[in-house]
Amino acid sequence: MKKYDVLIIGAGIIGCSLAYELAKYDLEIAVLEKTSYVASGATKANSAMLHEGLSTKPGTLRAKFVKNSRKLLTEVMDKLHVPYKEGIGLITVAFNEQELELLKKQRDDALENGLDARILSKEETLKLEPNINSGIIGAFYSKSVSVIGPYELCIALAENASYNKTDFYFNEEVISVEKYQNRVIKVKTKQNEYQAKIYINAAGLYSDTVASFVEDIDFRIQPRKGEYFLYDKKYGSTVSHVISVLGNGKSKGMIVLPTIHGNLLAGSSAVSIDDKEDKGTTKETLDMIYQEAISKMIPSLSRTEGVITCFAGLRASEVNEDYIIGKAKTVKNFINVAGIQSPGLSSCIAIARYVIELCKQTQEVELWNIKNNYIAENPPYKRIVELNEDEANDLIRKNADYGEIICRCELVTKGEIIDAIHSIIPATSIDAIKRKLRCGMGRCQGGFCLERIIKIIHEETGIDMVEIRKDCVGSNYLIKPSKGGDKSHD
Amino acid sequence: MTNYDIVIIGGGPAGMASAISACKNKDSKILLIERDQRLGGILNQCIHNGFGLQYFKEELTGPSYAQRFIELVKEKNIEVLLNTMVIDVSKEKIVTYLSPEKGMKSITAKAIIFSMGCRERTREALTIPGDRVAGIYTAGTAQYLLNIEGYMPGKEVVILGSGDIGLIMARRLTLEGAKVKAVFEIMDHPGGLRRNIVQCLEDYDIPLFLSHTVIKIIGKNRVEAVEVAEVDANKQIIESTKKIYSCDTLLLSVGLLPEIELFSKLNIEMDSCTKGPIINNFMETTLPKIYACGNVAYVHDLVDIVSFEGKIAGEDALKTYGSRDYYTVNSSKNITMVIPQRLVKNEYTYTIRYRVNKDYRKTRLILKNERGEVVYRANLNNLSSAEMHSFVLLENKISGNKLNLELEENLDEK
Ligand SMILES: Cc1cc2nc3c(=O)[nH]c(=O)nc-3n(C[C@H](O)[C@H](O)[C@H](O)COP(=O)(O)OP(=O)(O)OC[C@H]3O[C@@H](n4cnc5c(N)ncnc54)[C@H](O)[C@@H]3O)c2cc1C
Ligand SMILES: Cc1cc2nc3c(=O)[nH]c(=O)nc-3n(C[C@H](O)[C@H](O)[C@H](O)COP(=O)(O)OP(=O)(O)OC[C@H]3O[C@@H](n4cnc5c(N)ncnc54)[C@H](O)[C@@H]3O)c2cc1C
Repeated sequence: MKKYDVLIIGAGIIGCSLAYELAKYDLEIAVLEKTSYVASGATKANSAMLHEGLSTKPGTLRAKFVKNSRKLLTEVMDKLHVPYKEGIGLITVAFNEQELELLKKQRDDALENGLDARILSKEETLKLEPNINSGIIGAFYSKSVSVIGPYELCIALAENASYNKTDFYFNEEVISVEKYQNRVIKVKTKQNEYQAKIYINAAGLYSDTVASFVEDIDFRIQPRKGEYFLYDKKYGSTVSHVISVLGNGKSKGMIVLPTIHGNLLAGSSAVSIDDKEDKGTTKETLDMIYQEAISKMIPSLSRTEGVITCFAGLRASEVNEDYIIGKAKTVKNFINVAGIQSPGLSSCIAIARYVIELCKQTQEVELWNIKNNYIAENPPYKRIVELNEDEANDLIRKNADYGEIICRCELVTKGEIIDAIHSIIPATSIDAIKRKLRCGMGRCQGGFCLERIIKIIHEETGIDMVEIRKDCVGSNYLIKPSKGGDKSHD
Repeated sequence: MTNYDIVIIGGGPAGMASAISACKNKDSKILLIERDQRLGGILNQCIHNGFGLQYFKEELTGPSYAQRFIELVKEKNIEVLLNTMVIDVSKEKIVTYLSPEKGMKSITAKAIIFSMGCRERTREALTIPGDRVAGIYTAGTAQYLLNIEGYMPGKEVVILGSGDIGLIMARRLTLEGAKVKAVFEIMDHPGGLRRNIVQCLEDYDIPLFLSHTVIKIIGKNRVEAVEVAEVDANKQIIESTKKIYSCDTLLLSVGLLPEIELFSKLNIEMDSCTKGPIINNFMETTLPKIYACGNVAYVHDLVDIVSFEGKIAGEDALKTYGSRDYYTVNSSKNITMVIPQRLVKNEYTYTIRYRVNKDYRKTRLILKNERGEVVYRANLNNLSSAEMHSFVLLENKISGNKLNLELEENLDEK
């Protein structure tokens, strides 16, 4: 059995940032992920904001790692050719004097933390954002907030790690570990066993469960659900900043923002729940978000019109509300990176670099030499429909599949889907192709392209049509060929 | 860039009918663009009977209705691009398309006819809360999977919405061996045609629950159940009626929306009732020489009317005309939509089509002008909300410029 230098459990933004940073070294690295693709957990459903800790408590790890995150992350995103909206800025609106006072305090805190911030008058605010409710009396403004593409970034990090020879294993859920003396010697999944010198637990919501395979732990992850509305691109220019309102006890601040793809994202709630698998949306919460955030900030937005989807993400919050980053107490070679709630996206690179220092300290791996043939950049990537006619035609002449649109909302071609299926991290589930290419993320939500993509995956991989899944085992779409059905596909 | 007289986008019944009528003039250069591998549009997957009673005076299946037009398109040597998707249309009438054979290419047109059909409303458009799992299909997707790909999308099925496609799929799935547990409809009357209720549900003992809706989707990887509740007259959920139905599939037949995205940046004026563009009696939008016909203009229940309208659009696209003066037609009071919204003056007769908000036994339709004077009035019996209705308006009866259509309440209830 191959023995890796470092094995990472979980392919969210934290696991993938770790792989990306570790892959710079001349080491053998593996990542185990229980779902079918990267970015399946909190990394796919969040507010997508890159900020430097506008509301993190000073003195916490959360505050420590988010410092300078903007510079760190933008450097990485540039290298990997990941799109983002740099410094679009945050506007938090106040509807009364009391709220304005709170915002002034926020401004003072932000200034103290070295961030730019100021208070805007009502007129200044409405000039910047004419669609905001004219009932406001003023606003807090800070330019130091960007919007990123969380799963695009995660995929790019993972792909770069793969170019640099990291092994990714999907549909592999770690279910136990084996120890010998004061070391973990292997981890087990349902089907396989994996060995490494150092193990890192980046299992998000389940980071407490995974940590408890090793020893008795004194932390606990309590999921906190955030629900969202996503509006059609037609509404993407309704606002040009991140707009937020102050919380009211039931919720923290909620936001409306333009995503990097030009949709409008609005949310989110913050409700503690017990079931880590409960990613469902609820009518009550969606109503609350609409009433207290969306319609309050932007009265012209409808509760249903233009909404292309609603979804929920679970924050992996530790009960003491801070990150748990450090070596396990009773073994030498197991590191927990747990409770990475907001602003985990912003801080991912800083966290990864810190964890590498912890890895070095274990002295389980001796040599930390930079790879000779390290590949620093991912190949730049442009969607076919974004190319000019000559560029597109060059490609289509060589391969006609680049001329065949499959996802008609997001305009993705068959050639791009086939590329994704065979890419360095193969996208062979519907969710994987969705995250990689946005197929099915548009206004028809896959109504048209689902069946076509199922067929392309079948043709390219030989996976039986009825075995093609949305994501994990059990999420199959088709039951069996129909009575009159064409069985020649098999 | 190649120049065309008329470019028609979408090769369903609307697009084919307009192409056929536009090539009456032999010299005109016409192009019909279809993104699928064949012409026919949505008809190709409607293998049931019920097409053509008005147009051909006989009952045909969807594909055979389409075939009659496909033959004519061939016969007339109309230039057709299949497997070709139009990805952009500009104000200057530059049409950009993409295809495996031709690559990415732009052409110009003197007139453009949009005939892209419609798409189905999704779970998301209704914002049904719950889990996001496999096993939720629009009825049309399920129909495609079954009829074109030959695969069963589920075993135990609940259908939300009693539109015709959902009803037809209830029967199809039952015949294929699935258990269709129930059809739920939020309105207090069915959305589909009466004959489909009888032939697709009642004949197979599939229960239809009116004033009911799905309020939550439950499941881990695939749908495991749905929560259903009755609604009151204001469509508010009655808490005490909540009930869980186990199933592995939820089919949505909750309406269609015109496929308008391609021209959304052209600033064509839209109608919030039809969700399509405002059109005149020649199917022309508010931009001259840009037409919309078939389901992209408004959702039709009969393909025959689509074909009639396609023909009108094709003929008008060929004509040269000066500036046009209009009467406008709006609606209120019990009328949910009216078509066309603008009437070109000096045309003698107009066909006005409309839908009503519920079923009426005895009522009166009234068209008034801006001064409140009655321009047209008709007493009507048994007016159904499931179908579109029409009447012919003579121009010499019209006074004023701004017309408004309304419907009285049920007269025998007063
Ligand atoms: C509602 C919400 C809003 C947020 N907004 C922001 C924001 O605006 N800005 C910001 O910076 N941050 C934000 N965050 C935080 C950010 O999204 C998270 O901090 C970050 O995504 C956490 O990444 P992760 O890799 O730790 O977890 P995840 O992305 O959850 O990844 C963990 C992975 O581990 C896998 N896994 C679990 N158990 C096992 C096992 N036993 N074996 C193998 N694999 C396993 C999971 O399948 C998953 O893929 C938000 C989070 C939420 C939920
Ligand atoms: C399931 C179902 C059952 C029905 N049952 C009946 C019935 O029993 N009797 C009856 O009379 N009517 C019935 N109808 C109604 C009738 O079929 C439709 O009204 C009619 O087909 C609409 O024609 P269309 O040309 O507007 O649209 P479509 O038939 O949808 O054609 C639109 C075409 O445009 C193409 N297209 C779209 N965008 C582009 C683009 N960007 N570039 C290139 N091509 C594009 C599409 O591929 C499609 O081929 C039914 C409809 C459905 C959906």
